[in-house]
Amino acid sequence: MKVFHGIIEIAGQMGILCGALKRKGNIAVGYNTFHTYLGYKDHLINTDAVELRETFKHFLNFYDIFHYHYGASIFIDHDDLQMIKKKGKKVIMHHWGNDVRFHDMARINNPYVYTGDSPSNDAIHQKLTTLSKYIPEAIVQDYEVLPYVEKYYRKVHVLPLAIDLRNFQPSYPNIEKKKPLILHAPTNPKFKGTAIIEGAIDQLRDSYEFEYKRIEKMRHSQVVALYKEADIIVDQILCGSYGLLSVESMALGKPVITFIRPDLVSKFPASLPIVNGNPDNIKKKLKMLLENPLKRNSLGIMGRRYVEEVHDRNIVGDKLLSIYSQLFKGR
Amino acid sequence: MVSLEKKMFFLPYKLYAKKDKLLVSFNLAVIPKDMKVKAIELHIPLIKSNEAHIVKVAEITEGWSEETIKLVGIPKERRVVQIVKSIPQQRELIINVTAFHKKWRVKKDNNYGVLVSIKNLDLGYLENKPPFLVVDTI
Repeated sequence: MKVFHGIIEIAGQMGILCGALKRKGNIAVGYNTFHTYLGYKDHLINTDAVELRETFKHFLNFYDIFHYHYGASIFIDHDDLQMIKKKGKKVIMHHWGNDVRFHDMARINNPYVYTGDSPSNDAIHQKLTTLSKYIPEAIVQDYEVLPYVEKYYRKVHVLPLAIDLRNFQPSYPNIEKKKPLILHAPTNPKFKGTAIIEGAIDQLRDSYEFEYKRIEKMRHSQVVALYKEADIIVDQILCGSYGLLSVESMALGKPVITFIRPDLVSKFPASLPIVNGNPDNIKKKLKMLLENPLKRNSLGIMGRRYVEEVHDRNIVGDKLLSIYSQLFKGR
Repeated sequence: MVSLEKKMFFLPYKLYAKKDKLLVSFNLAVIPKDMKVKAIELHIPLIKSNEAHIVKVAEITEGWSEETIKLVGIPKERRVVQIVKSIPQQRELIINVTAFHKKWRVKKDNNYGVLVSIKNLDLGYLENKPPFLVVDTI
């Protein structure tokens, strides 16, 4: 199978999925036009939209499946989608959250959510209406994102975030450590609730011995090296679901605090060991972990196991291939 | 199942295929600088033929585009670097072009690509079934 991925790399997922597909004998290439300080490059061709448009006719002739991400396709007016459809090739859209998070809908079950990075409701509606004219099926990462898009597509698949575990050797928190290290890496502080997290941390400084590091504007590979030193990692406490930082933290054997919306808890496997913290209880959750080194260690072990079962790229890759094969069956 | 994880795949940046000639170049300048290239193979899909064909591979040493070929013809400046023979019923021709890897990685505009001539075969079908490069990396 020959698979095109493009054109926006989000959290390294395009590259990881391409790597997983290639490992299983498929030709898969991620074409990325969104270049950030995170510096993703594995299994990617970092290019620009102009070159993609110039060479699109070859893509159209070569690839069997076009797997687009983040609501974007190669041509601004989505001419490529029309051509793909006309040619009888398969296409699927992978939505990641901020591209489709309707502001009002996000608040229904979540008083904390920040949606300032999402386009307006009208713009999201217009975009999804246009995309779904040409794209029958979509993928989302979890049940938080699912409701935003499910009424637009014939079918929406839930595919967990993928991780290449070879790059994450677990380093479980040392139960003897007297001054634990709390880490937080806000790629987007407003979305993650950084101010509230740091407010809670400040309040705990007088009562507990710990270090705190905020990691920002670093290449992804450098960030991962720093995570290894952590004893507690705080991901995002507003969105209502967990993201890549949580997955990577668990892979490294770290306990992680994230807010999982109460109505979504049952949608995840029961073994999910995330400490469920929101703006109202973040201080309490941090306190619990600071006071309990054994808990930090055992959550770390459970996290690694969870990620091996749910997020390993080989497992996710098999699920993705199954989604692709369903596209062909739905001819 | 053979893992293709260490391989990168490139589709043509420029392509011209007509009669017995294929001109093709690739943008390899996008390969990360810290990545080592072990080998590069040019894969050319073949249509079924009962005959064996002589295949000449020449390095193109001057600039060209699909448009300039229409105006002034195919580039004159080129040098033959390989001659191979296909076998009857062969589905794909694989040509080792590793020798070009340094030159092709520097800048896409300096990569003029190769001209492949296959005697007695109309290569026009390659416009719809493009050749591709497989780059082995470390």
